[in-house]
Amino acid sequence: MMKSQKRDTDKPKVLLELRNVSKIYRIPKNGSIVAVESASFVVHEGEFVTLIGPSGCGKSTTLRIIGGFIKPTAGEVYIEGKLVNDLGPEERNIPMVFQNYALFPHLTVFENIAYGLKARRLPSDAVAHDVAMMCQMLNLVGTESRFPSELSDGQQQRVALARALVLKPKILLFDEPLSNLDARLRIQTRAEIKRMQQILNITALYVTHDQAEALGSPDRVIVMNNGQIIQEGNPREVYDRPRTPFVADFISNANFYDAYVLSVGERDVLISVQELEFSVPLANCDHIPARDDVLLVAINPITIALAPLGTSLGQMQCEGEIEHSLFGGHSLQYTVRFGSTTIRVVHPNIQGSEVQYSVGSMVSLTFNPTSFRLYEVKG
Amino acid sequence: MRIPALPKSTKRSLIKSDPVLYSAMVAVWLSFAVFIFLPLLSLLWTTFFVNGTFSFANIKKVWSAKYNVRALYGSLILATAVSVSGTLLGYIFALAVTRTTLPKPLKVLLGAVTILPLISPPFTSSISLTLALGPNGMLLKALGIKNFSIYGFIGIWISETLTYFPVAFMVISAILNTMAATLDDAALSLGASRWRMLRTVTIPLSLPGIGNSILLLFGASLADFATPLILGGHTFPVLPTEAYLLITGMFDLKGGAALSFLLLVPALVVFFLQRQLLGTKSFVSVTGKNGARTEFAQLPKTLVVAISAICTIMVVFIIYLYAIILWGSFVKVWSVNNTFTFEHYRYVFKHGRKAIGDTLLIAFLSTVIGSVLAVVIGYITQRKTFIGKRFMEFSSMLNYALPGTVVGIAYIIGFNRKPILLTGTLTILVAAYVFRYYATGIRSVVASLEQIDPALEEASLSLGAGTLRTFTHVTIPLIIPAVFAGMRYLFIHCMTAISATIFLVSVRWTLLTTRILESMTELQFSQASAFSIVLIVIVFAADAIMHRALGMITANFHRPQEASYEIIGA
Ligand SMILES: Nc1ncnc2c1ncn2[C@@H]1O[C@H](COP(=O)(O)OP(=O)(O)OP(=O)(O)O)[C@@H](O)[C@H]1O
Ligand SMILES: [Mg+2]
Repeated sequence: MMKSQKRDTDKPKVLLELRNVSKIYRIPKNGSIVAVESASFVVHEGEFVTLIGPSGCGKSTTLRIIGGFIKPTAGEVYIEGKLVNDLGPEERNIPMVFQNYALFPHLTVFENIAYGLKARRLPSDAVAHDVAMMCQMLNLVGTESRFPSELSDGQQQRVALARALVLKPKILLFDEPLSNLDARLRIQTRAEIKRMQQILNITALYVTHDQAEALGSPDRVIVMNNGQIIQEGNPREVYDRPRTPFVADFISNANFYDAYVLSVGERDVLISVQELEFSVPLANCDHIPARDDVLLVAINPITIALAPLGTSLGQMQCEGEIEHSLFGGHSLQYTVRFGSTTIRVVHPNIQGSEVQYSVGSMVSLTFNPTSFRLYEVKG
Repeated sequence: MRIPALPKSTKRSLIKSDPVLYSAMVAVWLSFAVFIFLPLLSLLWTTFFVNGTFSFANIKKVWSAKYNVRALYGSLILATAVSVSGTLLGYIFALAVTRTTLPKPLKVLLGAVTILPLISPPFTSSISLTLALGPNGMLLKALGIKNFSIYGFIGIWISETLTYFPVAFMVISAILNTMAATLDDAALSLGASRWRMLRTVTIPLSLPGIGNSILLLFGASLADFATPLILGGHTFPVLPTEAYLLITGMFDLKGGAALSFLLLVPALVVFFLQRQLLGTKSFVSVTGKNGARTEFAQLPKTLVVAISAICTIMVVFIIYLYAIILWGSFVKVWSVNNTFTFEHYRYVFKHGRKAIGDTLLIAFLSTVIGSVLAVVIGYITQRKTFIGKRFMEFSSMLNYALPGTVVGIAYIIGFNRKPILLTGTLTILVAAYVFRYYATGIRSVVASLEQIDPALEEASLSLGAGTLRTFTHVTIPLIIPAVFAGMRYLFIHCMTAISATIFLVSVRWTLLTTRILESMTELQFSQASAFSIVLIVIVFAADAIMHRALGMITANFHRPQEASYEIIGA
C-alpha cells in the first residue's frame, strides 16, 4: 500500500465496489429474510478492509456475493470498474479463504496449492516453482506430500492461505479464517496474513466477528448490523467515535445510561447522568440537542479510572463499591456500584504498580467526559 | 520400582460378572450354529464329500457340462454389466437430486420413483418388461419394432438395472450429500471451471460410494434368480436359475450344491472387498469442520440438461412399467382381450388368500424375531469386547452376503434329516428370512449406537441401575428409531424376497411371491399383475403404518429419523 501510494499521488485505484447490494432470501411459507440491505462500499488497491458485525448480520452473505457464489437480489458489484454480477466465481479471480479451510481432502498439500494454477493450465514446471515458493514463504516445506488430514490446524490454515495466495489474486476474500484456531495460533496466523498481504501487495476483504481481530490489523473497518452497513472508517475512528449505540456496544462494550440535558452551550452540552453532572463536547453528540432532552450516553469502560478512595485524579469523580471483579490477563474487569446503578470498568493490569481491588472495597471513579458519546433516543 | 502383579481376580468368569451378557451370547452362538453354520457346512459337505471321502467329483461333474460353464460366465458378465449401468444411472439420479436446482416437487418425484423398485417384488420389472417388450408387447407394437426378443441377456440386463439402480442412487446420494459444499466453492473460487470441479472434486470424493455401489449391485445381480428365470429362457443361463432347475426339476441336490458353490466364491470375494472398502476411512469423513451449510455449486449447464433429460425418460419409463402392471391386472387376457374385469382380483382373493395370510404371518414373525436378534447382536458387537467378537460380526452377516439361492439350497440340505428336520415347516421359512435380512437391522443398530455416547449408559450404571435395566431404560429408548428403520426393511424383504425361500415353500406354507412366479411361468400375466399389485399395496400400507408408529414413538425425541435405504438385495 505504501509503495503504490508513493508512486502515484492520485487517489489509490478502486478495485472493488458494491452499489446498493441487497440480498433477500425467500423462505417458503415463512416470508423473507433480508440478509443484506442496500450495502455500498469500495475497497482500494492494497487495502486491508475488515467487515465486522454480530452473528447473522450478513457478513458472509456480502462476501459470498462478492465471490460470486450468491447472486444479489438487487444492486451491482464492480471489480476493477467492470460489472461482474453475471460472472460465476470461476471467472472472477478473487479466491476465498474459508472458515473451514475447505482443503480438498483427497489431494496432497502440493496438489491443493497447485489446484488453481493447474486450472489455469500453467506448465508443470511453473506450477512446481510457484508452489515451492509459497511453501517456503508460509513455512510449509516438508508437508507437500501429506494429505490435509495429516496436518495440524495451523498448517491446514496456512495451506488454505497458500492455495489462494499462489494465484496472486487482485483481491483475496477471507471468511472468518481464524475462528477454528485457538487464541495463540489466531494471533500468529493473523500476523502471517498481514505480513503476506504486505509482501505481495494484495488487497484483502476480511470478515470476522471478533472485535480484537477487526481493530488489530486493518486499514479500514466496516461495521454491519441486521444486513446494513452502520459505520466505516479506520479502526481508531470507529473505536473512539462510534456512530450509533450499536457500534459503541459492539466495538467497545460501552456502558449506557440516560442523560438529561441541563443546558446546551456553544461547544459543550451539560448533562446529568445518575445525578452526576458532566460537560460533554457538542461534537460527541450525534445531533444538536435541546434543553430538557433525554439522551443516551455511552461510556467506554476503558476510559474510567479507578483509584483507592481518597486519591484525587481529577474533578469528574464519584465513589463506588466493587461488586464483582474478573481477572482477564492484560486487564481487570470490574463491576462497580455507584448511586443506584452499576458500571463496567476495564482497568489495565500493570504489573507491580497496581493493587487489585477486592470485592466490597470502596473506590473512587474518575470519568473522562470528552470521551462520552451522546445519542438521540429513537423509538 | 516394581510393578505389582495384576490380581488374579480380574479374570472373573463372564457367567458371574455379567450373567445377562453371558446368556445372550450363548443364545446367539447357538442360533448361529443351527441356522448359519449347520446349513452352510452341510452344503460344503454335500459338495465335497462323496460317500464320506473328500472329492472334487461333484464340482468336476458340473464343470464338465458346457451349459454350466456358460452359466458361470453368464452370471459374471451380467453382474458386471448391471453393476456398471446401475451405478451410472444411480449416479445420474443422485446428481439430479443433490446438485441441480430442479424444482423440489420434481426431486421428490425422482426419490419416490426410485422407491418403487425397492419395495416391489424383485421380478416386477421383468413382468412389466414382458408385457411391454415381450411377444405382443405394447411398446413394441406402438413403436412398430419387429424381430426384438426381450428374452436373453438384453432383457435381464435392462430389468436388473431398473430393479437395482435405486440402491446405487441411495448409496451415492448419501455420500454426495455429506460432502462439504465449500469444497465446490473453493474449486470455483480458485478458477476451476464447473466441468473441472466435477472431475477433480465431486467425482474423486464420491469414489467410495461408487465402489460400494458397484460391489452391492454386482452381488445383487449375481444372486438374482427371479429375473433370469422369467427373462432368461435357455438363451442366457445363469448360475442361480441353473441350480434351481437342477434341484426342483431333476432333484439333483449334489449338482445344485456344487453349482451354488461356484456362485458362493464370487459372492464371498465381493463381500470381502466391500468390508475392506468400508473399513478404510473414507475421505469424506475428514472434511468440513463446522460444515458451513451453504448450497452446492451448480453443475455445467449442458450436463444439467443431459441429466434432466435422462431422469425424465427414466421416470416416465418406470411409471409406464408400473402403469402397465396396474392395467394388466384389470384386463381379461393381456393384449388379446382388453375388456375391463375384476376377475383376476377375485381370483387373487379367493385362491390366493392362503398365500396372503401365510406371507403376512411369516413376514410378521420374521420381523419381530429378527429385530430382537438384531438389537441383541448389534448391541453386544458394538458395546462389548469379548473373544470372537469379530467372528460373531462376520458370521451374523454371512447369510446376507451369500446369494439367496445358496442359502436356500443350504437350508434344504441342512434341515432335511434328523436331528433337525424342518423341511416344509413355518420355522424354516422364518429362519431363512430372519438370518438373511436382520443384517440391515444390525447395521442400523450399530450405526445408531456409534452415535450414542457410552457415558449415558455409564451414568445409568453409576446411578445404581443394573445392566439389564440400563439396557431397557436407557439404550433401547435411544436406539428405537434405528430398530424401527431396520424393521421396515426386514418386513419389506420378507414380503418380497424369493431367492432363498423358493426352495423352502411347501403345500403347507406358501408365499405371495411364489404365486406370482407360478402365474408367470403359466403365462397368466394378468393374474401375476394382480398378485403384484396386491403385494405392493400391502407393503406400502404396512410400511406406512410402521412409519407412523415410529413417528409416534419418537415424537418426544425430536430426532430426525435417518432412513438409510442402504442395502436392499434380492
Ligand atoms: N440460504 C439461506 N436461506 C435463508 N436465509 C439465509 C441463507 N443464508 C443465510 N441466511 C440468513 O441471512 C442472514 C445473514 O447470514 P450470514 O451468513 O451472512 O451471517 P453472518 O454475518 O456471516 O453470520 P456469522 O457471523 O454467524 O457467520 C442470517 O439471518 C441467515 O439466517
Ligand atoms: Mg458467516
